[in-house]
Amino acid sequence: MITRSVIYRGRVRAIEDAVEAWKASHDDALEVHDLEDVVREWLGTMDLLAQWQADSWKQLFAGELKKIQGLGRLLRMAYRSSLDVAGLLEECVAWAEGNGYAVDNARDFRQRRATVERLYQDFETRWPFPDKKQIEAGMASLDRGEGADLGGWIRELQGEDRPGG
Amino acid sequence: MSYKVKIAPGVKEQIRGWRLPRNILLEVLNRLNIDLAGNPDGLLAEQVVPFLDLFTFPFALPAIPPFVRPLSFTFFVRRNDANKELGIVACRFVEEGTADN
Repeated sequence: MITRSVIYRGRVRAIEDAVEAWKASHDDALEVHDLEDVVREWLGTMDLLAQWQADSWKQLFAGELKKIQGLGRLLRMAYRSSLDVAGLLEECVAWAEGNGYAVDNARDFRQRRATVERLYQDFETRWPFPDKKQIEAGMASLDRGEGADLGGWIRELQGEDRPGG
Repeated sequence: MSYKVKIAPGVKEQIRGWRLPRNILLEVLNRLNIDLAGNPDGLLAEQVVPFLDLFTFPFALPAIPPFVRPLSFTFFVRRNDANKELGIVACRFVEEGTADN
């Protein structure tokens, strides 16, 4: 889990550095080829993220994940950094297009960015992160002595199965 | 010695709202009341920051009719060793490939 995150973070950081370097030096058509390399690298990195996410869902539903919160935080960071750098990259692509250059894979890049945003929203909605408000409300009600005995609920349900229950 | 398991009223209502068939509901509740109560050291998975006494209890169930996909449950459990009590304060339920309940 950590290893995958470290590798991923390194790739995103490299893209960030490449974008910054490109922004500082672009002044002719040749430099657009460098930008295309960065776009390709971002697309490849998104393949990694999609695979990481798919593997994580699979492990979650197979009951193989114990550190769900920890993994969730790493995935959240990965999505946010990927989308942040995509925003920077979009500025560069738009600048190049605005100056009359065609950028290879620009359409794929924009479609993929929208897909990653959708995946991120789905992840935030469905990943079993704790709800802090619910936790605090639950703790407060237990502190007030309102907690119900779970065994009692089970017996009540089992009683419904019995004749006359 | 097993821990006693208490459930916050809001969590009980939330679980009822999942509308699980009774056999699945009993399976879920028994995971908490028998498995977890008997082995919190082995089954509580990770601390929930910033709460010092709050831990997760995650588990999955395979697709059981009427569900056609596996189910994931995560319970947030306050552990009180002095009273030998576990308090269920929050929960999440997700079916593979669908929105959260």
